[in-house]
Amino acid sequence: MKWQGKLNEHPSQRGAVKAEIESFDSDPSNLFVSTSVGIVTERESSFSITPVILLFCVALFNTIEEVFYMQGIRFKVAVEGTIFAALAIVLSLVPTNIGPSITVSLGTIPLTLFALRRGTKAAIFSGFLWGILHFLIGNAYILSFVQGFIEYFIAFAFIGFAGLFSNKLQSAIKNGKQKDLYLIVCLSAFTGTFARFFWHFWAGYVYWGSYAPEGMGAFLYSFLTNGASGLMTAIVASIVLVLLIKSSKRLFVP
Amino acid sequence: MDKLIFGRYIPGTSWIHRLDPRAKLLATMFFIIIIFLANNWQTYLLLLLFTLLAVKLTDIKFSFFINGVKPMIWLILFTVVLQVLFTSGGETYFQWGPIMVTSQGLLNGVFIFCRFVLIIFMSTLLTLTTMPLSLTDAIEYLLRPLTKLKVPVYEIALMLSIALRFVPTLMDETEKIMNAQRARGVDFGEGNIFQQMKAIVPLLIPLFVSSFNRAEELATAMEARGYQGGEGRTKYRQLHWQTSDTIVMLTFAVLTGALIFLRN
Repeated sequence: MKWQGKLNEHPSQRGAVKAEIESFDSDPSNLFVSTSVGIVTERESSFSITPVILLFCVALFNTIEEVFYMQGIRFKVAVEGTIFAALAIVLSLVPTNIGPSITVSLGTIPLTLFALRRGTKAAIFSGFLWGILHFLIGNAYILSFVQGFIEYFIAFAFIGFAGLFSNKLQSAIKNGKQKDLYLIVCLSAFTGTFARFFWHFWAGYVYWGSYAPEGMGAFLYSFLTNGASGLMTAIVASIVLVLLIKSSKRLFVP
Repeated sequence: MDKLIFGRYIPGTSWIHRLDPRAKLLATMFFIIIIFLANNWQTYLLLLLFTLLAVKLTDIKFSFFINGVKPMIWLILFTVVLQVLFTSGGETYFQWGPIMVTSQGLLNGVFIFCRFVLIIFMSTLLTLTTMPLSLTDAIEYLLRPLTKLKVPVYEIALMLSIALRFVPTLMDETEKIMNAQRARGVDFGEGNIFQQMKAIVPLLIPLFVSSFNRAEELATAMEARGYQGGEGRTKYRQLHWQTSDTIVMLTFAVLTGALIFLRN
């Protein structure tokens, strides 16, 4: 990867980082110190999160700027996205726990609908707001800086990728292809949910990975809990959205 | 639905309640970072006492803080168990293949448990004593430098406050529609999963339709009143940085110093 080459170009820097790491004693939990202040650790070196975060932020803010000036009345799409984010958080507050660590995220339903209605960019904006709202109303579970940032600033925005199927859905509705509609809606719900839960999984892995000496254990645990939550969420969202589009297509048309 | 509480804010007039939201937000973020400096019992004890003092200052019942830990308890215990079972060093009490219980492992387990509980206490403290809207204002203020990079900070903050303003409204509306549909014979939360999902469709459709209408009206109103974006707008809610806020920041500086001094 690019940044790795960069690190190698500055041996002095690398040395400093190493020294920093070594200065913490062998206690593996101390590795996390370095993660939390953004120094590259050995574990993270396979896929550093910092450049990804920066890229994400740049792309996100460009997107938001665009959403404000989308079609017709200014702020119309943005305000709609905002109210849908509020709706998503209201539905998120409904407890839907299955067992101790699997949850169905009902907020996915309005967000996916909004994504299909207004497209990817608008939905990324809406998802981003939804994530921050968790934090504002005290519904966020933060155990470290990096984990909190990934889970509440990045993960929720990625649900916007459900909107990739927006154009297809709109043309399918126009052409009256009833059967395609269901498939597109399901695909979109699965895409959005998996894009989001990938980050939850990744946050879990990076975060537990720094505590579990055996990396695989953390990987597996994070994969299983987030995978199960993601799958359940995607299934529930698909079914409800199919029922929704069956009874009122108008909701999906801007 | 009746059990839903919007946000965790508990109104009060304690010293912590009256602090500037910016100070509280900064302090909490800072706390989450410096807690990783702790690596022996002295430093953890110091942080524990510090957190308990902060909790005491809020005048909020301790059980609210415990409630904040509850949803996370499984994750925390999982991590603690991993630590206990896979850490070597110190006296070995029990060993079976790669699994072992050592004094070092137990100590690490206790430390990690403390670390998580303290982080959660502090972030719970922030949301218990700060209104979501004030927190939005604080975020807006702290991100203001990003406007130089063309980040639409004011607009994002405005949208966040609009969302927050609509959360209670939408909750009321959900409740109303649920009651209306109940009167028509829909059973919410009964039957198997598929029936439950079917039941929320007649709830979601009117909710979505009214949300679209609200959005349209709000956007039209903003346009009609000539909303031009955030630059140079005056505010109804003003933030005031006071001496007590400076005291908080200084306390955190001293705490950091003490942690660096006490850690191994």
